[in-house]
Amino acid sequence: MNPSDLFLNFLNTPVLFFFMGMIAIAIRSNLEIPQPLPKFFSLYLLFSIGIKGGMELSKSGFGEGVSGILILAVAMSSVIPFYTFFILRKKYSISDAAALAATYGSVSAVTFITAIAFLQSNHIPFGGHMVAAMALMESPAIITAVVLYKLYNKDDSNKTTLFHTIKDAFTEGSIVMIIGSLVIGLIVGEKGYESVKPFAGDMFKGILCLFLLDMGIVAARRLKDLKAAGAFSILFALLVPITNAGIGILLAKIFHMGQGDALMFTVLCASASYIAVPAAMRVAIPHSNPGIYVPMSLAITFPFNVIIGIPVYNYLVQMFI
Amino acid sequence: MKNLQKIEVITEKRSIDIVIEMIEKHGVTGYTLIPNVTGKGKRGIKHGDDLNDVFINSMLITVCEETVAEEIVKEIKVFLQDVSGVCFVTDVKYVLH
Repeated sequence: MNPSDLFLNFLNTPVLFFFMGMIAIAIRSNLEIPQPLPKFFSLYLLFSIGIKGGMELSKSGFGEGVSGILILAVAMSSVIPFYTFFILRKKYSISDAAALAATYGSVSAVTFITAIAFLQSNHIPFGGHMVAAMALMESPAIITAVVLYKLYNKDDSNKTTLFHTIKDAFTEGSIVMIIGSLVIGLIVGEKGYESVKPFAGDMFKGILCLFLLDMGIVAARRLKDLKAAGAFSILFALLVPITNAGIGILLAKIFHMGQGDALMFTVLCASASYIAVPAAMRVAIPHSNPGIYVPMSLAITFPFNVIIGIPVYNYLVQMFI
Repeated sequence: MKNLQKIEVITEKRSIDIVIEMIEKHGVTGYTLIPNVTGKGKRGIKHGDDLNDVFINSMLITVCEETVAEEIVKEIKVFLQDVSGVCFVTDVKYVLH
């Protein structure tokens, strides 16, 4: 891959729709996708990647390499909040630092799905187990962040137990949808997948375009919330994903992942949650301010990863792996 | 017309069921629920455009006797220490139907 291919990758169809959503807000257009369609699109995309991932896993099975990647995924999600929490403590309260640590340790399913579309466009194969890795990476960061919060916040009056947080993290709708679809794909295998492929597979990219159009609108709206955030927050939201991506590529090299798996793992390490974490934080760390951590992940990290991150990470993966 | 108190609670959509349980526990049998309301408060803007109902509120309106309203408000004050939202209580005239 040469640098001119890198530029062409920025121009793939779903990403252009994401731009279109952002431009719509910039020019004050009244363009919007009415609720609950974006919710439907997100459930469709989780269903689509879940059932396909399960089907591929039914073919490849759980080999030693697969379990190694899954363990690595959980480890990364657990460790990232540790180092980010102590950086964030320099600027934020304990509750906001913990919520941000959870945000950057956990993953963004939408960034992951965009990376899948990117790999499909470039005909780079990846394993179905990466979908399981994504599902597994949502919760460990939340648990680590809540433990850190409880350790450092001596006057915590919140009665929510760690068990309650873990239960909440695993019963969140998006997690149930992705794990459920993965298990169904695993049970029905290739034959079962073929029967739903016209809906589950062929419509994937079209639905992703509309969904990213909506995400562009939502991300651009959140940019306005960032006005008070300051340089530290913006730098953090850009540098932490790059650092985590670097660690991801290094680990992918050490553990001999294929190029497709390596890119997916890198994207997971680099992405930040704005769906599962806010839902968990409102119960586990209710005094954390979603007005801080959601705009950072949604208005900076997410567009950065989708527009620049994915093609650049792929370029580096192609170079080093 | 009867003198009653109107309680309005605007809080996170995902927590509104807790408020409903609270008022029902005190014998209030009727309420009006506006499931999706947006706005701005201490914890930022609730745009109502997220995918899992974290950034959207619901509004519950009910009426009851003053003594019952006091009991409900006591519980709602504790509830609002950890969950974002507001509660208003006003004197109203209830037109019996």
